[in-house]
Formats: sequence, structure tokens, C-alpha cells
Amino acid sequence: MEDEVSHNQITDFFNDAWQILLKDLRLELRRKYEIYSIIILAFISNLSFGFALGPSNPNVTDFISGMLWVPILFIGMLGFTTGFVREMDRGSIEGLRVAPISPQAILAGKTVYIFLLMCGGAIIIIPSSMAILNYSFHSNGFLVLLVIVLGILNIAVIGSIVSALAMYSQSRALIIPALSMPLLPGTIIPSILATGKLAVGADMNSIIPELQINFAFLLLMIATLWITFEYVLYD
Amino acid sequence: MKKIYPAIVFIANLAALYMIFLWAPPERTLGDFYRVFFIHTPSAWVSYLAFTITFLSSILYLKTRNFKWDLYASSSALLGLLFCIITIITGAIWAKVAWGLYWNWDPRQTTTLVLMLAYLGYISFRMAINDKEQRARVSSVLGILAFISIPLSYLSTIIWATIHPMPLIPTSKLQIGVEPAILQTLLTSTFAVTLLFLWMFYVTVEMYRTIDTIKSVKMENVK
Repeated sequence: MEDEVSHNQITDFFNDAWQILLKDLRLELRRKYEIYSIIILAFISNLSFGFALGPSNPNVTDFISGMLWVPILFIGMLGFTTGFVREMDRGSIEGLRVAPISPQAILAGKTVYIFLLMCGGAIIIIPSSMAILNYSFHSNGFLVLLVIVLGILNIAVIGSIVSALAMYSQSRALIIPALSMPLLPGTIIPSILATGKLAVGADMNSIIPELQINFAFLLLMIATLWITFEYVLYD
Repeated sequence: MKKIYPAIVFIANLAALYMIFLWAPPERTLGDFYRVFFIHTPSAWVSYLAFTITFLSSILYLKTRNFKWDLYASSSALLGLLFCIITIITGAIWAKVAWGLYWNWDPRQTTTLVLMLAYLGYISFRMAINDKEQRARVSSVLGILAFISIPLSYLSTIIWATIHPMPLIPTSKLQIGVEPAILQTLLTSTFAVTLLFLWMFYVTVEMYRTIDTIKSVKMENVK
């Protein structure tokens, strides 16, 4: 009987998070100009790096990690402002507060939304950067994917809480970088280091410390937010 | 005690200054420049202590909703930020003398800067919220999240290759040979700076309490 109750709670949690995610994705698809902005940002950043480095620069692998993570991070910033801040601006936050949904499910839905938005950006940034700047990750493709997905997941978790905190402040858009920048280095530094190592041909063993830090950071953030998020959402 | 404590702080810091500049012998390679280390290490310790107080006070505020804890959290974060800035400046001076550059992108240097930014963000965030209850509640969550930077800062020298000296009181087989006079000076200066922090903490809490009282009296007069 107890097993059934806990199973139902887990199912409800995922269903609720899924509904929040669908709602946000529907809203995003209605605002197509935001998607176009992401695509333009991705191409502009790649072209800028391309002009800066010149065609077929032999040292391009030294700069790959920065060139990939800077635009991914900026796309994340776009996602942060569309998380909870948009709910507050539209007045729909009250609806979320009174809805029979656990705060953790709301946070999970918002996190997955930011995660998908950033993954969408990364899907454009990485291949276009490889094509424009003439480089490849050779046999490290899977490891690069692992590092990037883990890094983006961490950024999405941070982004969703930053967005939730920022909705209470007076200058919402301005406070987001001030709030997120101090929390992001915990994941950005290891992600950049690991991508940089993989770009010059390092193997799995050499990026284990960075992966460990990213996993530990993710678990620590999720555990902290699981306990504290209801204090952010409800008065 | 209120009157005696500042005198104790003054005497302890005077004794520490005497030991730092006159009693401790010059170091073999760095000469007298190494004395900045007696300000750097205690400041780093005090900033960690202050941020831990912010973290614990934030938890206690969320649990009890007593504004006293919010007052402790914000006062401690402000002082922690001050000591963190001192740590970064003295660390940069040390780095210039020991390694030739003020900034070496060493993991400990970088993560300490991140720590400083985290609490600068915490203080800016508090300033951006007008409602007292909302500010206390939401910034308590940020006070807990910002604390995650501290283990990262401490572990950075263990995980990544660093030129920063390892912890002075080693936990493993590492044993660093420190002259007794240097160790005694370090302990005295750490004790003196901790006393100074506690006194500053008391004064800051009282200052914020007075500001709160003045604000509430003003509000009552307006009504």
C-alpha cells in the first residue's frame, strides 16, 4: 500500500513537471522571434570567432572551449529571463502558486525547459562552429557531448533558481547576471577545462576530476534546491 | 563586557602587530615581504567563518522566521566580503613577490574571487528587494546557495594543480616545516583578527538594528 502511494507521488511529480514544461514550450513556440534570436546569436558568435582567428588557424583547438561555452552561456541567460521572471511579469505566478503542484515539480519543469533551450542552442553552435572554424573532436565526440550535456544541465539548474530569485527584485533583468555569475563558475570552470582538454586529444582519465566536480555540484544544487525552493515560491 | 571587549580587541591586535613586524624572524627566501601572510591567512579564515555564520543564520531564519537571524546573516556577509577583499589583495601582493605576478589564475586565487563575487551578488540582491519579509526569505535561500562556493574554494587546491601553499596544518603525510616563532605569530594574528571580526560583527548588527528602529519610527510618524 505504501509502495503504491509513493509510486503515485513519483508519477504525479513527473506528470506535473511535464505539464509545466509543455506550457513553457508552447509559449516559446508562440514567440518565434526568441528562437530566431538564439539562432542568430549562435551564428554571430561563430562568425566573430572565425574572423578573429582567420581561416584554418592551426591553434584553433586552444580556443575551442571558450568559443563553445560563451555562446551556450549567453543562450542560457536568455532562458533564465523567460523562466520565472516571465511568470511574474505576466502575473501568472499566482496561478502556479495556487495550482495543486509541488514546488519541486514546478522547478523541475522550468529546469528541463531551460535545459532544452540551451541544448537547442548547442545543437546549432557546435556543428556550425566545426564547419566554420575547420576543426573536429576526432574520437572524443562522445566525451565532448557528455561534458556539454552535464555542463548545460548544471547551468539550467542554476538558471531556474536564479530566475525564481530574480522575480522578486526591482531590476529583474539586471540582477540575473549578478546572481548567476557567482553560482556559475562552479560548473563553468570544470566544463571549460574538460572541453579544452578533449579538444587537444586528451582521454577520459584526464577529465575525470572535472566530471566529478560537475556531478558533485549538480547533486549539491539539486539537494539544496529540493529543500529550499518552496521558501522561494511561497510567501 | 561591552566596554572591556573593544580594549581586549585593541590589545590583542597590538600584540599581533608587534609579533608580525618585530618578533617574527624574516623568511629565508622572501625576506620581510612574507609578513603579508600573517594578514592574508587570518583574513581568509575570518571570511570563511563569516560566510558560515551567514549560511547557518539563513537556515535558522527559514526555520524560525525570526528577523534576528536575517540581521546576523546580512551583517556577517558584509564583513565576510570585506575580509575576502583583504584576502584577495594581500594574496595578490604575496603572489607578486613569490611568483612574479599579481594574478596567476591559480585555482585558489580564482575560486576566492568567485567567492567574493558570490557574496557581492548576495548583498546587491538584498539591496534590490524593498519588502523586508520577502528580502529576508529569498536572500536566505541565496545565502545557502552561495555557501556552495566555499567547499569549491577549499577543494580547488586539492583537485587542480596549484601553486598556492597547501594547508598549514596538514591532515595527511604532508608535513611542512614551520619555525615555531612564525607559527606562534600566525596563531596570535588569527586569534586577534577573529576577535576584531566578532567586535565588528556586534557593531554592524547594532547599527542595522538602529537603522531598522529609525525606519519603523519614521513609518509610524507618517501614518
